[in-house]
Amino acid sequence: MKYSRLCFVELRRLLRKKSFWICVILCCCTPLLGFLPLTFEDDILSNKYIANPVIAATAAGGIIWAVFSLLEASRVHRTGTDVLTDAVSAPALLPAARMTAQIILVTCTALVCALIWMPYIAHKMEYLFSLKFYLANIAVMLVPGWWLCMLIMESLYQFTRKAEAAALIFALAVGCCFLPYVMLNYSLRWICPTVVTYSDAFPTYWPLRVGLWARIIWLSLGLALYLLSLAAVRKYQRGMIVSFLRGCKQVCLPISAALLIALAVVMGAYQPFIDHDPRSYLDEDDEFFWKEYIDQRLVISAVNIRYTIAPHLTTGTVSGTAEYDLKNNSGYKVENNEFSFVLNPGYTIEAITLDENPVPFETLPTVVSEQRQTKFTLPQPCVGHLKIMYHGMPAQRRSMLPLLVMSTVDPDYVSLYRNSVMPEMLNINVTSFGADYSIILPEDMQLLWEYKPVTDKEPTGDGKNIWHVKADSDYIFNLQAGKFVTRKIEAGGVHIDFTYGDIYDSVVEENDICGAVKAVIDYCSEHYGPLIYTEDDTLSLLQTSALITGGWAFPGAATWMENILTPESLKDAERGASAKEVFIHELIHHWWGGYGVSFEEEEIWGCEGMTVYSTYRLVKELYGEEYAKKYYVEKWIDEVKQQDRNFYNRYPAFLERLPKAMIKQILEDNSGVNHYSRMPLMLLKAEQLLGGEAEMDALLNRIYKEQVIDHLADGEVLVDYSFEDFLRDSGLTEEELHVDENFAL
Amino acid sequence: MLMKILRYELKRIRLGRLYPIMLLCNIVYACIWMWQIGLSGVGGTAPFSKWTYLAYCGAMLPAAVLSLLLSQANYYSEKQQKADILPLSSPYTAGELMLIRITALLICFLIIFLGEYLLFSIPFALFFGTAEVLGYPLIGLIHMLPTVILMLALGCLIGKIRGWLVYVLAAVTFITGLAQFSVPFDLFGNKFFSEYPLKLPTGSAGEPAFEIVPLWICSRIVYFAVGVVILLLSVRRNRKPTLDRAEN
Amino acid sequence: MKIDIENITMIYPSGKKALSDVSFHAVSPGFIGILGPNGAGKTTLMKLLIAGLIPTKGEILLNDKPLLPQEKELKAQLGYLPQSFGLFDELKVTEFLDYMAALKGISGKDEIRRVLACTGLEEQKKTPIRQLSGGQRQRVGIAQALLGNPQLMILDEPTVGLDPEERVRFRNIFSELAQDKIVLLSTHIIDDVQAVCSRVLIIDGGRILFDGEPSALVEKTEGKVGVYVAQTGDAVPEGCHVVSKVNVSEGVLCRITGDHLPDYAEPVRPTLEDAYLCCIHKGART
Repeated sequence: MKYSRLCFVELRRLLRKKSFWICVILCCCTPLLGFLPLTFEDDILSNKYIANPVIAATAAGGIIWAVFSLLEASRVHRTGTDVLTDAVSAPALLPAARMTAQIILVTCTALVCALIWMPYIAHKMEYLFSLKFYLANIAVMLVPGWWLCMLIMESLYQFTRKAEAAALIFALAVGCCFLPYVMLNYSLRWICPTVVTYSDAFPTYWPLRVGLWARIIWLSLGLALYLLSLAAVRKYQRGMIVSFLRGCKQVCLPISAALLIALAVVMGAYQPFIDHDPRSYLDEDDEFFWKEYIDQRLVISAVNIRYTIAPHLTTGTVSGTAEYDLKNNSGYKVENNEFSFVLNPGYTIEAITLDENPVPFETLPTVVSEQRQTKFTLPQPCVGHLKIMYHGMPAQRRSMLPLLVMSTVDPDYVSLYRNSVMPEMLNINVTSFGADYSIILPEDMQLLWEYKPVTDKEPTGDGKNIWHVKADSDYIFNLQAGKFVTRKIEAGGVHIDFTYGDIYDSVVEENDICGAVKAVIDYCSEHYGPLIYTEDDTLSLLQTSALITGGWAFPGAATWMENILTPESLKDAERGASAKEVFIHELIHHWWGGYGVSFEEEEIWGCEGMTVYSTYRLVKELYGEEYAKKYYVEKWIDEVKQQDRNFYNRYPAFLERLPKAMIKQILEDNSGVNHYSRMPLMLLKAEQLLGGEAEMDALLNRIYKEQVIDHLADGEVLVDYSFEDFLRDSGLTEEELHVDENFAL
Repeated sequence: MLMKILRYELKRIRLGRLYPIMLLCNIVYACIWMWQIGLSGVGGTAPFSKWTYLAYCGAMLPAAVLSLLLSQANYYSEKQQKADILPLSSPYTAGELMLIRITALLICFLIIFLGEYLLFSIPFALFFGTAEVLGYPLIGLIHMLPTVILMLALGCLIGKIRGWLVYVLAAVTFITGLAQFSVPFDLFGNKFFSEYPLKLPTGSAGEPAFEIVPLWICSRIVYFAVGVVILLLSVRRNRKPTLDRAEN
Repeated sequence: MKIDIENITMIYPSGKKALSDVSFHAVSPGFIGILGPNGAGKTTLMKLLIAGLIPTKGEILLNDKPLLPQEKELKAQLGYLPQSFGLFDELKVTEFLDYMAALKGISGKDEIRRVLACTGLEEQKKTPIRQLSGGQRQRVGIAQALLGNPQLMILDEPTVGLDPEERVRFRNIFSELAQDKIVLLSTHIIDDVQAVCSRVLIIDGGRILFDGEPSALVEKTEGKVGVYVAQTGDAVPEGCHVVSKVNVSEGVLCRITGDHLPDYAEPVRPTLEDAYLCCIHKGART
């Protein structure tokens, strides 16, 4: 019987099976698992109503279809009808036809499931719902996941010819997807790629692009495995190996499998989304990169530095040109005419020219901390107009995933970070002269430079604007572009530009968010002192995409997470250390941190502890003493208690016998508890010993004045404020400030 | 004769390949647990404390039960039912044969238990030089055995209704093993031993003394008793000649 | 040993009436062949005899005592080979027989060696059962039934899958065993019954149609079997059944059975097969 006709026969047979319809019904119910309290509760509606249900349905539905596939594959052997069917058609033909029919039916089921749930999800997400985005999730996450589960399960059965063994290996493979290492590594989680997060305010397709790439890799591997398993279908009553060797004589099977495996390997090796730095973030402290360039005398300097950056929103790529006028003002001869710069590893250097003449260059394969080095050789005397042209998709730093996806180019949003914007020269002096930036963006997008809105733009006439920025240094931390709204707030004697995604404008209005911002600034200014590190007395507060976890503080700017402005988070009063409080925390860093009082980082001393304490004080005013006690003080006591009880903290001698990675982890955990729990508890105890909040505020006010205001007024460099300094200023002793689990308010 | 039959049943389980694979999976899982959780110690206690050991037993228990249930499910497969026609024509009743097989499964459990115990005790003896762990197996058995007996008894009961239901029980075991229930419903004890020590006061060494609440002891006794009762009921039912399932 | 089956009726829960008021008696020594079409009730009868089923009505007595309370004693003396059975594929032949011997309370390797020799399985004794052919698996089944020299042997289609030479050998073995045992042999192969059975039981529709010696059955069928040459398209004579058709030069030589043969049919000496078919057809009519 012809293959196509056999597929049709199988299709009809499966449609008549009760078990198939049971599986369809179960699969249509699987998205419910994404709504259960067991899964991650998220303020981002795209996570809550799209990501969670789709991922749950992919995993659960995949398992259901895999079991169905196994039962179907083993049916002929269980019932003994294989002797009849093998006499009619080639032994491998029937499984292939059955799999084709299953794939068709499963795809239809996925579409039906998507249609069933769509009205509910659209209703819940309201204006945030995007049909295109929703269907993209179904197409990238759900459908391939179900295919893959069936292909793998049936392949395992064809190889082992034992249902239990196939089920067991499949279960192990699924179980591996839930190991912590695999959960974080997008490419290894075959059943469903890791979705770091979606964003409502700044819709991003980055997780879907990454997911699609991973899907193609795994589908290639799954299909290759399946083709090889077809070769291993038992023939002539021989075992697996002999049947496989005979089956491979149909060369199309092994060749196709080999090509698919090659495709997967190449795609895995050349995936463009995440850098290939194999080290974890735990290793990054151990060595300084490019140290060979630190002590080099910089003979050549660059002036008239110009960068032109053009993000391509549809493809997610960036084209850039960096131009430098090289001069030798050092008085020294150039001995080594080999120069280097680093750039995001996702970019390809298209050309390097000096005075329009091509310059030989070599991009090294090693990636270190989201930077890849390119070396180029200039002809003596190494002066002239240098131009570097580059293009590509910015790659994320692997060690920072899933917390941070800093550089992404999407149809409605652009975020580029450091070396995703322009190259960083290693042995050419560029820092003293500033740079001109030109960024080309669609006309409906607003550019934010170092988190502050830019105003200088000119239209190009083809629906785009060129934004001009003149920077004092060539080093940029971040640029963003999107549809923003900026509201002006006056608080604490400072002009505040409160910038957020336009989609939340009504939410800001209804919830008086500007009032809340004003309350924080006013509180801190009143209790500690005026803000110092503004620019032109302006502080920029910028909402960032949910892809960038946490908040950041810079001179004249602070960021806050998208989570705090969602309708979900704002209506939920029963929260502890919520996104809103993270926002407050980041704002307060402008008083306690590198842009306020600079703290000496010691074992149980640092800017974080002071900021956490101050956050607690403000939260206490905003939400009441009970709330603050429950979500701050009791949490600190609990963490200190757990730390004190930890066996290795009680017996450090045993710690030395552990593996190095484990020791490092324990020490880092200790550091976190010390800074985020023990120190705030110490400060709370200090407050009690000093006589109350008023006395503590007076002390902090004095510290801020002496360490920041007076130093700046005198033109002095700020010095780090140590724990000893605090003891001296407070008149307390270290023993008095000792805290443990018995601490009580 | 009984020992010979038991030996052959053990041999059949060994030759069946499922059990050796599951034993390996249990060992690998134990290694992962020891590396990720055990070495740190649970509830702030020492990694070689009884708390940690029993939390380890509780974590391993679902995997051990799962292995045994999958092996038990094999007895209710169509092929096995057909192969049992001849043994059932012997003087041994179906119930007696089932008891022998349950005994074989319990021996298999003891092998898993021993492997996991060695995996726990040897590293600590080598690296921490502590011999405390030598006295732990008894309490570990008290923790694990009642649950094993109960689950095998349930497997016997529902396997008689429909063989594939034992697979369902195995799946339920797997899911329940991930859940965190409180005593007395903490069938696997994987919450009690890691959280209870945190509630206890610490002694001079900073270590909460090892104690077990009476409720936990009662739960073990209840599981054991219920398991034995279900097992006896299953055996007793089998003593009367009934309709041949193959005929049906 | 003595077995008495008194007015047994067996109705399955599905409503199917497998046996209807069946009675018969067996005393050792005796070799009883049980014949009947598929679904006649043969297997049900055998399962009742091994206490595998509880009859709906009636009683089974073993040595004049009810069977069920003596189940253990019965099984200690029983050699049973069902029509459809499985084996433990993972074990070797000797291991499986050792296991069955242990179940039957038989110790020592001698008995196993004896049955292996009896069934011609010495060369396969260390072979895993999964590697055996269908006929060899059947011989393993026979071997386990022979273990312990049981007083009652119940064999349901024991020679299925065996070649003719083996079939003859085994039926002779069974015949030897029947010298001091009760052997119940259920089969479709009339030759086996004719060759070795001293008594034949014909069952159909849950009823016993004939219980007696094979020769008596043949005698009853005298004058009811005939042959004639038919032409293509000729109808079967009314009231008769065709036993065989052979193409000959004149047409088709038909062998028929019936209470009243047509005039053109030449009566011939009936075989046991003829007698069996005649009995079945008669039973179907009544």
